[in-house]
Amino acid sequence: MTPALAPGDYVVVDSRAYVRRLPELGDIALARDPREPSRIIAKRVAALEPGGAVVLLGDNREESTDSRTFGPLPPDALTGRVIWRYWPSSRFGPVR
Amino acid sequence: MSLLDRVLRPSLTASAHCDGPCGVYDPASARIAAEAVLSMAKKLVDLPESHDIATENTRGRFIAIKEEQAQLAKEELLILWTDYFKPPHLEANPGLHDTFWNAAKLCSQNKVEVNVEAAQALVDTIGEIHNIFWASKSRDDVPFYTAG
Repeated sequence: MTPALAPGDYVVVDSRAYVRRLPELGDIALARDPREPSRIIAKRVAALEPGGAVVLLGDNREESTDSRTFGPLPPDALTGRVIWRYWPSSRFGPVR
Repeated sequence: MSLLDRVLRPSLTASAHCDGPCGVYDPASARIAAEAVLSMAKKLVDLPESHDIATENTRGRFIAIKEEQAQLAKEELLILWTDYFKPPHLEANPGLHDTFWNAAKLCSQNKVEVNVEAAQALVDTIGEIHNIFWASKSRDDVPFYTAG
């Protein structure tokens, strides 16, 4: 997910974001990896399909393993939205 | 862990990566396994005909390693094929699927047979994949070296 997220970034996640509203294009969402549910992944919402399925894509398109590999996810697979980076302090601010 | 880190550290770790940190896909892992297959095939061919226990044990060990490494090479190739390579790569390399299919078939053949030629063909095919892979990253400075 570089450059939006870098390895080791500490971020604040709104874990109720998708209780309140539907995912929106451009959100960076957390989801359980459907191939390995113990792993939480952070990917960008790239498309919303009719019926509500969410297509997640990594920003680093060449390298990312995302909905192109594991398909769109049901909206309840999304566990939160990444909103703010607090560490490193040099990159403190909203995550877009 | 410093106090600062303890205070700041989040409670949950999320992976924004693929199967590892970005950029870790590398045909080198398949190449190393294939080189082990080639090395074992050569050693098996060179092994004396004698059937004493020590020679038989050595033969058994070489065969086990050859088959295990051929399987590993196949797994590494399948990860590259199915996870790294994407439709745009196929457009740039129409022979991509054939190359991977051949490589995977060679892994199977090398598992079954003791065949130096087939083992060399596997290493060479992984060399082709190496070239396609690094070209897809616009890199022409990564040499395909072999330990053997």
